[in-house]
Amino acid sequence: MQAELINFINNPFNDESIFWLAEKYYNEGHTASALTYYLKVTEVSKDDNLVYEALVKAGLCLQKQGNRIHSTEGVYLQAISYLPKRPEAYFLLSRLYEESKKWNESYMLASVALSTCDFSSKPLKADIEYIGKHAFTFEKAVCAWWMGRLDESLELFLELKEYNLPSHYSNSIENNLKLFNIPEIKEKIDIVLQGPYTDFTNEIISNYLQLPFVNNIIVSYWENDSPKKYKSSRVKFVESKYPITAGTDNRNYQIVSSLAGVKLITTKYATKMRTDQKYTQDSMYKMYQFFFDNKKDDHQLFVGGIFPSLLFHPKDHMFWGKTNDLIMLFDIPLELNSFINKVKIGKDKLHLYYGYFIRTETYIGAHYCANFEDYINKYLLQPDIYLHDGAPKWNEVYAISDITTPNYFKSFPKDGIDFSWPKKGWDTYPYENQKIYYGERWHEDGY
Amino acid sequence: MNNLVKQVLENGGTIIPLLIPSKLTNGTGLTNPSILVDGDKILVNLRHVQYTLYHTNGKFENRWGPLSYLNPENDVTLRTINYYCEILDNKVARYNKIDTSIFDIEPVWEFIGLEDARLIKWNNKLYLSGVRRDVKPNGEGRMELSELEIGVDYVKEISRFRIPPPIDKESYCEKNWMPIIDIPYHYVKWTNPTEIVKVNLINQTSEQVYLGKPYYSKRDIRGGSQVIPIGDYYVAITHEVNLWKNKNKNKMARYYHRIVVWDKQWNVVNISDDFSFMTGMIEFSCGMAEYKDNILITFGYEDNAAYLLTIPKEYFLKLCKLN
Repeated sequence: MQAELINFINNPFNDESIFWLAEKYYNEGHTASALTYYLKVTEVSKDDNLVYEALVKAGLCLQKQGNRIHSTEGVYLQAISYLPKRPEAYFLLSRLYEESKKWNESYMLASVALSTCDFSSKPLKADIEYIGKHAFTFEKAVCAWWMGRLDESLELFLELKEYNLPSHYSNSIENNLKLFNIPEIKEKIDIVLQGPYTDFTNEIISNYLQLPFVNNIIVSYWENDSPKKYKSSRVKFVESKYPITAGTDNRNYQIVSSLAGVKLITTKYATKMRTDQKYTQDSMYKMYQFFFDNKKDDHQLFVGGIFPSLLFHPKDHMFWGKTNDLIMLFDIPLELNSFINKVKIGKDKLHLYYGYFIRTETYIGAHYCANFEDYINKYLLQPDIYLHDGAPKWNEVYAISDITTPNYFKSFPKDGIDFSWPKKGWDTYPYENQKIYYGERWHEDGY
Repeated sequence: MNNLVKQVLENGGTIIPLLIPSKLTNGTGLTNPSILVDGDKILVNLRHVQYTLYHTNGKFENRWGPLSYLNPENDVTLRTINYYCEILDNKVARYNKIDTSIFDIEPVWEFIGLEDARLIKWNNKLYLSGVRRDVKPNGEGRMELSELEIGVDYVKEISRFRIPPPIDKESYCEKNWMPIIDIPYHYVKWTNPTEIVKVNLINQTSEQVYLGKPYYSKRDIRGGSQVIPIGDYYVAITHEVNLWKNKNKNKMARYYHRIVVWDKQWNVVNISDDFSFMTGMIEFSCGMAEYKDNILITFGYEDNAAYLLTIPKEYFLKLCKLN
């Protein structure tokens, strides 16, 4: 410090001389002394960046002394006001708010900084505890957790985990991730996203790619889609031509593009999901863990729910299972000369005609079960006798379905598993409504 | 003279910062040190304040103005703790927090502790003498004289005398009395006119023993260092304060210093031009001592830093206009 002190005495109005004396005091923990000199820099300097840095360090001096929140906040606010495009003071104030348990303020400031700051600003002269842009993501991740946005928090921590950050950050990220009870990764799986490719699909891809158990994502979409393809070596694409007929309730579309997708799977286990439904990361973890904890060495597929009052009827939003079984699930005949080829009925009125066609899930479910139970083919050949609602031998089939379906379709729990489905305006899955009005059941119900 | 220290350095002097580990202070201010040469030892009393002075003459004022004492926000007191130090080879070689627990009471005013205490050795006893304001609910300030016991690994206050003012017994705040280091229990209480007070520890009284003639000065000349003998003279560093309010009616202050020289009959024979130590707005000296061929002066800088300035005696005499 002696050299810096002498230099200051000889040049008491030179901003650099003052600054480096302040730094000496700061680095030895004498923050009051340092503050005095940093403030002097702000009085004499014509260098905007140095004035800014001195203000930031003055704030750090007060922050390190503790219990001077308002004064510290005031200094950081002055720094932000002075050079509002620089990120450092935003970060320090965001961190101060976070440490003061002002989660909303901290989160807001980090968000504002990420969208407004110039991250290519000339570096400052000294260490001010700012590691760069990821520091804001970290603040958002921490605050999101406390604000109840667990999925977002997890997503951000997982994103941060991919970067080589200083140990105090990486350790904290590891510790925070433990709060999410992330399961041990047994083996990686591919995810097939099937359906029309929209911007929302890319959001889903981004979300799922962060899951450490995901190998590749395969997007199976339609020839008429014009997607902005997500750029990642871990995302594969397959485009399908529309079949000559959609089938009742578009079931042929689902069959064709699902099959195209599952054929590209390279992992032993996989899941087929939709391009328009985004499950939360926490849900994905839960399903992954549940699947590997409960799978048997047979052909059982795991689904989002079961409709036990109907025949061979899983919910068809997603299927988890062995890759070969998923291929088998969709390698089935298309529905030709179907109900919609005979009458012109809107999709919204189909439910009035369940006595005249096989429900889509029953169609897929029964075909899958028929791979292992030959007699089910008989039902498929004469659906009006066996499978349509109210069919003469419906009750006979129901008794068999009741026993057979659980062997091939197992429901995930409903607890902790949720998604958003913007197409339907759903921010959450309406479990209670589904149970009461449609008879859907889940693992908790014994299915 | 703005920047005395620079001139001193150009004339063979030195300066060192006075520091103790920041883990003891939580980074807050070390300031207003006092110094005493005791035989071969250089002793320093270092004042640690549990606040940080935010003082700026620029545009980045604190939310409470350009001059604010930033105490912890859950503790509105301004607290002082004193550290006894010994200097060796231009470094603080020993430091001990001075244990004042025998005489402390639960503070009843927000300024807590013995402030700006000067070191003195009278009748072979080491004393600290400064102002204390925490024992009366109205913040009344009185000079106190505290005897110190220096142990191998401790320093303890073993007596305390709260000095009553000699004449105006109801005065609100007595401070910055300058102990005369070679006349036991005597202080220069006031510099213009020079007023000398003798305190009596046995009777617990004080009396005015000298009152000189007033002279012209543009500001009140207030106490600072101890008064030390140099040759046929007594010398002390004094301070003056220019207080004003800025446009927002916030308090602003600037301190000035002088070297005051008396003859042995306490006639003021010289007063230097005013000066700053290091161009600071708030600087304060409460320590001066003669050591070998040097004069040692300790001073605080903006209430946040402390320094020991060593001035070659010959140059110091020039500053005093004594050679």
